[in-house]
Amino acid sequence: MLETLESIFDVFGAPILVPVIIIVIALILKVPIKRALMAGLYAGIGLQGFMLVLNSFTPIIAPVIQKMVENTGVELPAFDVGWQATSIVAFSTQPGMLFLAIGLILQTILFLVKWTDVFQPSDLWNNYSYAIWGSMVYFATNNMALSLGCMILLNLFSLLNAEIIARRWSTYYGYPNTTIIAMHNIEAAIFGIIFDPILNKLGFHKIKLNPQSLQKRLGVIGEPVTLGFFLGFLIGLLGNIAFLNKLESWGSILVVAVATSAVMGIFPKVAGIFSQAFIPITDAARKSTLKREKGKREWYLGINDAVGFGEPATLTSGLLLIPIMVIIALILPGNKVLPVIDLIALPFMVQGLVAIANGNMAKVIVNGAIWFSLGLYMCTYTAELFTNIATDIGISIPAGALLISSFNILSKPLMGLVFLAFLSQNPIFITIAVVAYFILWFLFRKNKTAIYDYLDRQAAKNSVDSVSEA
Amino acid sequence: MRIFKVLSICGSGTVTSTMVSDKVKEEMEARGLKVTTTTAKPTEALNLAKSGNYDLIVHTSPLPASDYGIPTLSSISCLTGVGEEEFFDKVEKILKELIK
Repeated sequence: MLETLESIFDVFGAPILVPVIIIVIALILKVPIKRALMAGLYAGIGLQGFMLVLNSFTPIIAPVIQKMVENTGVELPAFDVGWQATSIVAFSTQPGMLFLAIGLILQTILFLVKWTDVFQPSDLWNNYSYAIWGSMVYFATNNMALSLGCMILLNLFSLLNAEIIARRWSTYYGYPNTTIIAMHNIEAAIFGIIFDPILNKLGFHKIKLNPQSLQKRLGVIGEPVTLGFFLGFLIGLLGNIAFLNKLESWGSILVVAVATSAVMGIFPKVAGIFSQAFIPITDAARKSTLKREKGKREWYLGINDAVGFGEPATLTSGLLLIPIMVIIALILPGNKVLPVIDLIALPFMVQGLVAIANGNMAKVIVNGAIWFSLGLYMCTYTAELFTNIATDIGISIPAGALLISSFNILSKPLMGLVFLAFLSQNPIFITIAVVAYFILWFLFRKNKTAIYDYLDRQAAKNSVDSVSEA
Repeated sequence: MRIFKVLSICGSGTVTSTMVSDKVKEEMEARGLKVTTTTAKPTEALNLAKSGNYDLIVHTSPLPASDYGIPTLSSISCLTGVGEEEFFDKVEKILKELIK
């Protein structure tokens, strides 16, 4: 039976199978058949589109990065392909496809039995964050149970994470009863909470940077296509540094610059098409669950983090971190990953931090720089596995020439620990991870009001524009 | 029949702006109005608005403070589901005003 499944996967591939699963889930949720079919088609288009773009891009960038590593000693062989590409890779793997269904059921049940007060299925899109770690476990161990266990535990941890920051996020961004749940964008908040008292001792809570004026000066860096051009140019330059007197080198440099810019411009459009596959499902899941949930419960609807992207402090601190993270990536010893496409995702990545710090950009930048640097090591560690999975689902990456990663999705030191526990296949580590979750869940639930109040008090300590705090 | 052009804005210019634009198109068609949509990022909004090609901006992400010359409406209720009907009512009203 398993062999039949395997051969079906091999023959048809992701652009066929993922749409089928999406159509089935949609029909189960009573989505009208025409919309269900369109949802499936969008998913197929998105997947195929991504593969088309990446397969055209990697032959251009791979040899140049290789030369860069050889000629300059800049040891950054892993290229950051971005969250959009990662999401599609994650959903194309067997664990990923399974988790589309399992995750939805799990999250709905957890909310209905009040294990969690965060309704996650309305942001179904972001499940790829768990799926990618599960896929790596599966690829390395060939054990579906371990892979599922990993994804489920990650889902549980990040639901807890989301619930911790829910009130802060909802308050700060001004959207009542909502929060973001994307694991890759809220993990940093944990570090932010822990580090906050230390930053306060250093006087950070009194620093007040003005987002609007800073934003005007940033201009060009904030545009993905120009950013892509500069980075591509830089990579091309470093790759051809030994031959700058030759005309071909300049040809190569400019081709890489334009190609990288093209990817930065086109990838998001493909992701946009792909995301349309999820609208009918999220709508249906939300409507059927909300019908039952009336009354005094303090609950939070999970929404997509794109909502907070444009908020001034979020956008500005995210953009400021772009040059900072590039420099850190270049000098950090042992780091092998060059953030490129996910640099423009930094405003997503800092949302948890911004909510906790109440918009204090100085804190966000410091916390971000530290935490994301640690994250780079996790990206480095997982690069080979991730590259293997991508190759497995049909991305043509010249063997041994290029490693890929995602600066946004894989840079998770804490969640990475859970992943490592499952990867090790050591029952002791796995048990520790599971037990740790239950202890934390219990502690949080017991002290929920106290924790929420503490976070609000800490946030209030930061000097804000219109209100002055002692 | 007049075709209305709506600009849908979100932070990344892709994910939620696409979701919103789809819903607006469908809902307005159900109400008898033909709509085409374009998605974009907040930084592109001003230029696109000034081109005169759009009748309305809907946004899930805050717009930089500026004079856009055309009505702007927050579309966050499309994501949360809270107040969605009122949002569509407002869109319909704005577009119908333009026919006069």
